[in-house]
Amino acid sequence: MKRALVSVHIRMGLYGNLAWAGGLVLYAAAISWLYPTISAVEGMGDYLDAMPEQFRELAGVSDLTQALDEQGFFTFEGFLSTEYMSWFPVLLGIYAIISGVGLLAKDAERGALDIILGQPIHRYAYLLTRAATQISVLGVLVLVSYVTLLLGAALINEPISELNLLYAHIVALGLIVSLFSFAVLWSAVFLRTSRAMAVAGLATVLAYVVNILSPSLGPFDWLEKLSPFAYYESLSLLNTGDIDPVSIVVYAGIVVAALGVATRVFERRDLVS
Amino acid sequence: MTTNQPAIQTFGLTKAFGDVRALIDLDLEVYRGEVFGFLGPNGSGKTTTIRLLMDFIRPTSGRAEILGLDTRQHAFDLRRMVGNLPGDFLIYPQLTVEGFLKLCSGGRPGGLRRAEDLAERFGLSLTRKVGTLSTGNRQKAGLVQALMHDPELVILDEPTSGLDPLVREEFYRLVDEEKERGKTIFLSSHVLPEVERICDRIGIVREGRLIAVEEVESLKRHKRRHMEVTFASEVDISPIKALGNSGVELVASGGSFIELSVPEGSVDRVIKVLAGLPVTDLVFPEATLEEAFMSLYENAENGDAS
Repeated sequence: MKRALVSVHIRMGLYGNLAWAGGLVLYAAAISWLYPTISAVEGMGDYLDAMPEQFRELAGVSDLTQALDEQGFFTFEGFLSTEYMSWFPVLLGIYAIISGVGLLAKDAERGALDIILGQPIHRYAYLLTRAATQISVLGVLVLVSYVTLLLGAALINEPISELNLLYAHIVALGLIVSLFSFAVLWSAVFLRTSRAMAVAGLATVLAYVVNILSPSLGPFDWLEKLSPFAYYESLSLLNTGDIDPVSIVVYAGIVVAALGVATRVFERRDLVS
Repeated sequence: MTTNQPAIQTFGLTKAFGDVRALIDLDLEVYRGEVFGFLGPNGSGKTTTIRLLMDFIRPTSGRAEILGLDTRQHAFDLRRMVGNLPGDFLIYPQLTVEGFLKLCSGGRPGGLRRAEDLAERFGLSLTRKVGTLSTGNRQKAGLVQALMHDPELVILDEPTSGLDPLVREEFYRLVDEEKERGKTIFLSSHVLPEVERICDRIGIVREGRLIAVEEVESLKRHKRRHMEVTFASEVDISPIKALGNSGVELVASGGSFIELSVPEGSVDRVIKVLAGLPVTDLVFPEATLEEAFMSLYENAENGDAS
């Protein structure tokens, strides 16, 4: 039953997942292709210095160009981080949330749960099998991104550490799977896609905004630590390859806790039809 | 093949959804080898009972056993032994019927061969996508998945809903065969002729309460019958009206024709009165379950469920 479930859901999501993979390939390839042109532009520092004061305050620095230079922004890694690696977990995170809230709720809404759970399969096994399938799909999409960027860097003759790029993707996957697991939790709580999306989506947007605004939060900058986005620093990962063990613990903790609670809730609740 | 061993037993099974009590104190026994019909109008608690038995929803109080096992503690084991057709189900529209049946065959070997036989009997194409099936064909696919594992007990929620008369008849024959093989079938329905055709016993549920459990034949024997009498000319029907004391109801009268509703035990009195009148035609069909059902329902409404 579990194997059949995996196979059915992979086949059902095939076209959608291929579209996501294709989109990522295009995005990653375009960014790689753009770098030689963008890096040749002179006056990028002037452009950044022309940013309004409020923008610099928001970023928490007085000299934006110097700060970015120190962080390696003007290297290929810096460009990748700003234009791709910061956005790709957000994009895949949106997909993860959409698939997470629908994981149980869609089946409940279409009346399929009574048929599936009328077969010899435990509720926890159904939930975890479905979740594992989708996490694997997310893993494959992250791998597609990694391979495309490696190929892109090779094609434009820009040296990049394969290992650092891999680590950045691994931590990004941690963030994406955390968002997915959080969405699954609300799918189990409501068994209704719209309600689960409202809660999971709103919480994720809030977490993202808190992370963006953290430098200007003053005494409340500790709020940043509540956001899973705070544990993913693509530029640092691409430059140093040092994975912060805290980020791994946080993401693993979110995944285990969210899926654990989701399983518990799903085991105990009535199946609405 | 019916035995006294219960296939299904419920003990004060109660389910409330918020303030609404969908099922109240259900005490029910369904014996192994029997075909049991669970009757009631929409919203009476039939589907709630089935979903409780299948452990899709949890009781507010009380409990249930299937084949001697607690439905909550042994839900997984029971699903190996029980076939179930949920009411109003849908499944992934992208799947073919064969893919759907393969999905449902997991964990129980040997089901697919029987599924092919059943699909052939019902005239169901295995290659069509579930999403393109009509309501009737989807119901056939549901029936095949419920029966494909040759389960000890089959629980069916309105199994013939959407089926055409020919397939319905094939389903009745299948039920007869399963019963011959000692299988137990519990089905909900509000199609009375169907229940009359295939069930050994019925339970009638009304507003969440079980108001009667009877054998189909005994129920029909005990209830009111419909009688139409035509006379040679217009007659004085006051002697017939006087039978009202015996529970006989004059349903309609006009010229030389009367229509009566006759309760069990009053037939003799009616015949004796009619004997003195110029009767030219009399129609007195066998009691239908529908009449029995309506009678029981009316009694329950009046607070007399006996």
